[in-house]
Amino acid sequence: MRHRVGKYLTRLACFLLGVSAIGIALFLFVYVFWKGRGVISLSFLLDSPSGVPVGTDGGIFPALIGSIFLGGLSALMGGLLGIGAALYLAFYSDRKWLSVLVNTAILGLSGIPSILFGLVGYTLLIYKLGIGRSLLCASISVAAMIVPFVSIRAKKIFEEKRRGYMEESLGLGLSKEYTLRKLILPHCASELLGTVALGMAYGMGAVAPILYTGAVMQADIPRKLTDPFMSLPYHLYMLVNNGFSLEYAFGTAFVLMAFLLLVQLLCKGVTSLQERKESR
Amino acid sequence: MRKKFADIFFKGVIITAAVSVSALLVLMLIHIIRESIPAFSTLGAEMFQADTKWQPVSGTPQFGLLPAITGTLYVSAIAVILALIFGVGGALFLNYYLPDNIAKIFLSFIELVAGIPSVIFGFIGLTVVVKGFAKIGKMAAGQCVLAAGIVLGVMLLPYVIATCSESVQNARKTYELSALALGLSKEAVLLKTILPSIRRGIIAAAMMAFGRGLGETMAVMMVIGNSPIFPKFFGRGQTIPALTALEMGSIEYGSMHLSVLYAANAVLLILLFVVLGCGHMLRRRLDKDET
Amino acid sequence: MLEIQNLKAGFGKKEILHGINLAIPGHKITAIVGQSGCGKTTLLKSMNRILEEEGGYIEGSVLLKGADCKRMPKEMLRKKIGMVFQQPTVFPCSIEKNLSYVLKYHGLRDKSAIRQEIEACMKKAKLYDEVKNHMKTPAKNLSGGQKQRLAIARSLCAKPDVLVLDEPCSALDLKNTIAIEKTMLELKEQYTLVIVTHNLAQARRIADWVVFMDRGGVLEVTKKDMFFEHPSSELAREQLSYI
Repeated sequence: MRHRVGKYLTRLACFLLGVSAIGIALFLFVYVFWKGRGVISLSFLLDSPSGVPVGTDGGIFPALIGSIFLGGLSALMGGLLGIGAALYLAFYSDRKWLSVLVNTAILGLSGIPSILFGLVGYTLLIYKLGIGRSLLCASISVAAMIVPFVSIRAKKIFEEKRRGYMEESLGLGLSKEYTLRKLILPHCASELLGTVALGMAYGMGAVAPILYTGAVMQADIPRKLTDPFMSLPYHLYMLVNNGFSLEYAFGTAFVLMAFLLLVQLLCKGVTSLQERKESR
Repeated sequence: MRKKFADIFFKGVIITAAVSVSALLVLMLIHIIRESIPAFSTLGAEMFQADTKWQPVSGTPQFGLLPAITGTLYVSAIAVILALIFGVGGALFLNYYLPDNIAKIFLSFIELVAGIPSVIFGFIGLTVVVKGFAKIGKMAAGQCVLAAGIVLGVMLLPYVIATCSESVQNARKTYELSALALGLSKEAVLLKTILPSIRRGIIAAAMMAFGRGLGETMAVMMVIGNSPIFPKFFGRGQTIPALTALEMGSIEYGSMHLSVLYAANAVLLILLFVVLGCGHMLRRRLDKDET
Repeated sequence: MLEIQNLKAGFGKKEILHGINLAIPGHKITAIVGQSGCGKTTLLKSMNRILEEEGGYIEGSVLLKGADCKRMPKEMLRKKIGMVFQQPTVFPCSIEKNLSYVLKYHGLRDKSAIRQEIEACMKKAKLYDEVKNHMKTPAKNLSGGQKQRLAIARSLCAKPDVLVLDEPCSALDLKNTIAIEKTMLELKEQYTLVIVTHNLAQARRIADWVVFMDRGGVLEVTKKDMFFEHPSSELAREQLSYI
């Protein structure tokens, strides 16, 4: 009898906890999309913010574009560095101390709070180097944040699937570099691109590193690297923090969430397609 | 056979990337330590005394870091406890009770939550959790340490569920069939073999989650109330990342205020290094045991 | 063809080969036999220095036609000593690309020359007739035996002097094993073959010379008939009494 009760209690506990977890996850998405749907319109997406104070009317177009620029630029820099480092760790271990150092660096960078990238970027780039608040400074700060994100995933991609090919290719008298260039990288290309795209999504959503390094409340679409820019999550933060407009905040959150969700689903789709192609 | 130029160039690019990444971390660490030296040398232990408050801009500035440090630890601890309860339970429910294909769908879905930016968590935290506390707790405004803990807990949930899922799946592979064949009920197998075997995995997940929680900035900043006082469940509080983000923009370069902020972050980094380092090594040992 | 002098190899503190002295004759099939763990594969991987890629060390000298292998650039060494692994691994592209990939690295540019070379190597590996109409299809769709023959053809594209094969048939069924053995017998006219096998019957079928190893050392090196009729070591006699 006691055993029976324990059995059902355990089952109930797991069920409740599990369903709650799923429910909370669902709630997050549904809540934002539900509350924000009223604001979404073509003009919201394509206009610049207006109103007094600014942001309580109009749209979020410059913020959307600014975020895309930021995400793209930092993903490019961070992604390339991250993939390069991952290649080194996965295929070259000639100097062991360097491998250990790079590995530690990647793990260390992945643990650093995002605000520190902003703080260091602010002090170093904006003060010491004198570059003003700009897309460039913000991108560098965010790129540093993206490096470990991309690197860890890229290393997994390289290690899981391609080491066998490298050994085979070396046994044929081909150089490591040739193998990477002509065999391994082309074969991993879509997965790596997916990882970089995810990195871009990660960078686009970050506020802490760009708070003082380049994001501003109102600006045009940046035309030079040294221009300040608007960012979608920063815009959201400002609307909420200063109590400007809850309604438009929901709209901004809707757009941000939808965009990032799209990128993530696309990447997942691409990787699962690739997996299915390979297992056949 | 002379080595082809393309090969040498390619290898050079890769090594440059590897070196640059190392240099990046080293540069950041050196910078943080350098900037925090004035605070450590002038103020030193004064920053960590219990009676020093955080009043950086008053007539006689005080730079007490203890409230912020304890606040950081508190919030992360609450978050990890919540995340563990729902995370382990969720992982067991998904990987043990649900059929594999359905579980996979839910797990992928929960992974999507990990991609939600910190600001949005803060936003939802403000409009739901904080508002809830204000209504139910009859507080003036609902920002409090517990709210931050709840929001952070939800943020850590996907990570905990993902790592525990892996452990549960491994444990199932090893024990399930032989235990069931002995006539034990599913729940007995759960309690007697699976839970004990994932214990170390849970500890590792908890440590890693704790480390992540320590560094979280935006979401916590938006719901914790930003008062540099000692943390109490329903009182306002402060964490080091939130403090940094808040005060960073209005500080003069070269001032003691900035140096103290750097010092606070240096302390945070040491904490992070210890926690994440142990968590990581524990995971490495677990992976080795399982192969 | 290949002279191995006082070869010691291992990983870190663990030494696997304890000073091997061996001479591999040209244009013959030399079979290296012995129990699991005696160091056969390590010996092969020391010849083309793949062991170092796995983190191991190699001491002593290996001379290919008199030239010191340690002094050669690694890629050149592995071009001259080609290796076929136990698990048939093909690259994730078409059959044709698997081969042209190797040829292009070694400098061949002209499309028709590439096609000719591919045909020649495939014929030597006895794979051409079976797949000549499917050259552009993915190589991963081939059967295990075909994959292994593709691996052999691929190694031949590098125009090696020596071909070393690490248990090439252990993952294949009898029919494919026979096909590969026939191929090896034909290849020895042009190349020198060294094969590692734990299958003594296979060694009896195709080897000219037998190198019998035990625990990191070479116990005897004899002509095949001598080995199977009058083995000089006790261990060999014991093992042979089973077949």
